[in-house]
Amino acid sequence: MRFAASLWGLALLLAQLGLVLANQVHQQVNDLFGHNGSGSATTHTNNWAVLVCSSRYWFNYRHMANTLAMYRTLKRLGMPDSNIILMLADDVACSARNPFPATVYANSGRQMDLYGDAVEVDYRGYEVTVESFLRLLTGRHAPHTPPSKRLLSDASSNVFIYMTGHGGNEFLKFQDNEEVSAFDIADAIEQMSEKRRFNKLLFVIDTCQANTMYSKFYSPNVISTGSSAIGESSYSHHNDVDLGTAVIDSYTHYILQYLETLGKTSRATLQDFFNTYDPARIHSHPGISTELSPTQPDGILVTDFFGGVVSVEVTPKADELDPLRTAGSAGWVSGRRRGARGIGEGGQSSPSPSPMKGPPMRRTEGVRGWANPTERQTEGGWVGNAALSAVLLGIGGYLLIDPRTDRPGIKRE
Amino acid sequence: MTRLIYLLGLLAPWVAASLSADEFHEALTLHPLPDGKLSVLFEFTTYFSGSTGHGRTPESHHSLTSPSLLLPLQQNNVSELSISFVSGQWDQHRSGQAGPLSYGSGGGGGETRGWLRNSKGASPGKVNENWVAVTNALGGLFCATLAPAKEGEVVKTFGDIYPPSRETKQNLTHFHVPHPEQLLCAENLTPFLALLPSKGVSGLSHLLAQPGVVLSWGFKAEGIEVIMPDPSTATGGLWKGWWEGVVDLVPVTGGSRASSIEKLFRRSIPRVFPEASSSVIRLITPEQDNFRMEPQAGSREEQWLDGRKREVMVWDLMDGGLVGQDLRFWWENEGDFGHPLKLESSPISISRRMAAPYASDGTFVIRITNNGDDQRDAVYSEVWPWWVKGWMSEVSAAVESGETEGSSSELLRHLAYHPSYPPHPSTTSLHFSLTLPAHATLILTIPYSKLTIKYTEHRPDAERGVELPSGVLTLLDLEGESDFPNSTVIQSRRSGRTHIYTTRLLLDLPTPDFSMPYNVIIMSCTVMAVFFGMMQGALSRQWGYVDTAMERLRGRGKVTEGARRGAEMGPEGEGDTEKIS
Repeated sequence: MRFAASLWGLALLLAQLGLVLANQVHQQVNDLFGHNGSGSATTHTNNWAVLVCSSRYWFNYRHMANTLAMYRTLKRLGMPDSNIILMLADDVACSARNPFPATVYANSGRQMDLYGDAVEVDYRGYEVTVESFLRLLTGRHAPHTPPSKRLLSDASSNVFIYMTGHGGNEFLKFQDNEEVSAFDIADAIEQMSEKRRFNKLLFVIDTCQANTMYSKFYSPNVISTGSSAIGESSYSHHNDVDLGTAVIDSYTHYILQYLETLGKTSRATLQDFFNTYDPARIHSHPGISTELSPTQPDGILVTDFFGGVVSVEVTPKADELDPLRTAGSAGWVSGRRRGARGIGEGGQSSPSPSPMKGPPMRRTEGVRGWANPTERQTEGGWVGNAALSAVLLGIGGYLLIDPRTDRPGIKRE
Repeated sequence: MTRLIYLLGLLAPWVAASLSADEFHEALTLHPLPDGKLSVLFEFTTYFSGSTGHGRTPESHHSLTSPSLLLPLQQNNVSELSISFVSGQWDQHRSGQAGPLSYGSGGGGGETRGWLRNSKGASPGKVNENWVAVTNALGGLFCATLAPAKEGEVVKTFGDIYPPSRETKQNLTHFHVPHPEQLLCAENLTPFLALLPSKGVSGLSHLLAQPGVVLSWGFKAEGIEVIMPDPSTATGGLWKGWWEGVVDLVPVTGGSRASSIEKLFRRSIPRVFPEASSSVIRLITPEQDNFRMEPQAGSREEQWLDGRKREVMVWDLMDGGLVGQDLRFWWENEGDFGHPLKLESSPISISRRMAAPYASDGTFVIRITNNGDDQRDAVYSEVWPWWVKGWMSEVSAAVESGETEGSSSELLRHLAYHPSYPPHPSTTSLHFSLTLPAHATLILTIPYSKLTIKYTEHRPDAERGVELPSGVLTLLDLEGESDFPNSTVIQSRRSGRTHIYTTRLLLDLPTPDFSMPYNVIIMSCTVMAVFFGMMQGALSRQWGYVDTAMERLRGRGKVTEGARRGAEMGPEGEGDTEKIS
């Protein structure tokens, strides 16, 4: 009995120590990840991008190059391929007219292959239609659409939409036979807003009279920018002699030139980004619309949209459910892109905001999402309680429970 | 002691599992072709056990196989599945081969086919739904369209052409979806490499993981074939991936064909993938005496390839001696390569052309040449979209040349015709049972008409035309390709190639002027506006004299008179006057 009493004493001592240590560690983790200093008023926990090249044919090589250059920039800044929906209306890389097969370049010297070794085109060729684009935004898909073709964003996602192609006053041509109008996109974005599919949205468009394309937007938290004013054309930047075609558009060229200077930890804001616009060099007047966003561009980091730099919500360890138990229902496997891609999604026409698809970093949110939020207490307290109960349970378990007994109800994947 | 037994008891399933462990084999086959080209084939084969654990809940363990490939197949009751992408044309005449070394490759574009298990008690539509689900999932995986756009596009009559590769007691349904418009590009290679256990970073896959190199080759084929474990016979599963390309060995400026692994891939022979059970480089030696290679092969085999006995040199990479080295081959004393004047042709070759192509109709001409000494039995199959309507009564089969003369009924023994049901999205499939006389060319002609499709059903690049899936010739009398020393079997039947494909065919459809609908809308709106305007006028207007201001000015007296009369008439009279004016 004396032995048991001393054990209890030891346990209490250990618990105290654990409490202090856990509090310290938690503070450190919070400092490191909790608020990564972003000036944004609201935080987001994941990034999504929809990159659309709506033009077909070899002579529109530059539109493919525009889109792929954006794709490369996003990947360079840390956005995983699973969160980028890339739509290319034609395959110039493997076109018979491409003298450099399986490559796409956005500069005349052909310094950098944008197609790279690991490109993933989610919608290609005939799949790129107005219908598929609007379905993608609004999340209304046919039952068996694979996850790679879905925008699985949620209320804490920052969504970046980039479009390029041939357009006019309030329309953008898709392929060669249909158009999406500014009203359609505005309504789709309103639906996204209503369905809480984004936290903030950045809409960038490079086409003739591009600024008309976002003129009909009416949903909150949307910042838009375009390459040219009404009545203006957007011009290509330069040609490549060996390819025999223009390789990039002027506006995209200059914004990429700026984005290229940024790194993953850049502190540049969207205002800095917009300040680089120079109508004289671009040969058109880029437009900026911030009236729908309560946060002004100087309060939003460029990396809030371009890249996978997110603020991680640190949750105490005790909030996590036992991974062995949670894995059976939702599946950790599907957390990885390739894993998620193949799995038949059943009849999910409008998937619930899925934390499962994305970088492994977001695992914690997924778990937190399943925990009952009303049970949450102050974080430090939780850690302390957890440490205490862990120690007590451990000792109790050692004393009472035969360690060889299998725990019931444990599912493994 | 009891603890030890307990431990052993715990370990036993693990030991058992490791005994039936997954295996991974990789091979690179080089095949110099007579026309100065080289066919390069990568094959990656993984054997996996069907173990799903013994717990109460289904478990699946993956060591070398990718769950992203196998889980959708498992979930949708797939027994066997094959996907093929082909880009470029295989030249049957110049290569002397009826097709690429990868026998699973289709004729052109993308192709998916498979056998699905009919689950007991499920509705008949369930298996169709499973097929749509699995093709969608794999389409997403391979960055391509593999699923049928409409359910009617699924072809179900190819079960006899592609029989299941093993005996099974299960009730299976065959599905086949051709996607001739698909092409093969870097985005299809990325997932292919990701599915391999070596991921393109070690082993032979390291040579393949260079899209810029391997996609610059002329003919390209990529594909996978998965055979799922069969619980009814307790057999394990297998999945095989292949990538084949044809490289031109002759430099653009002319020269010799001498080549090497480093020259082809800009990389030396990589380290062996540690998990590989076998890793070999094979070279099918050309039938010329001056062919040399270095280093010398570890072993040699003999193989029948399209009716010819060929010598195959094999280098085993497992011993590690070749790592970081190069493998060179050349033709001794060959200056500039001269294209051979005479080429040995393959035992059977096939081509499909279009004759008399008019806007509304035309004729498919299929030429099947049997160069062998023996009469052959074969089935020729085609798949058409619903808007191609064949004139079945006009189908004819005739022999072009040679000694054997046969009537159409002897050459064309049987025709299975599964018509489409226009104008719904559906397919016509045809299977011609043919007798191919020796040393003769059989010409099969099928006249057809093109039905009109709605302007919304045209492709975005409608003027380009629409690809028809390639036709496939299935040989029914093959003897296999392994060598029997004292065999007296006729050579031309010694081959493992069951299917010979034609190229896909670009069929142009009469395309409307797509601005026409708008013209029509504008015209009809104008007509309607004029019509309704006139009707409105006719119904609401009334003809009569108007007392205008000019008249009032002309005679003031009259005006006062009129005004007086108007006042006498009262408000009704006033109303009438207003209506008229």
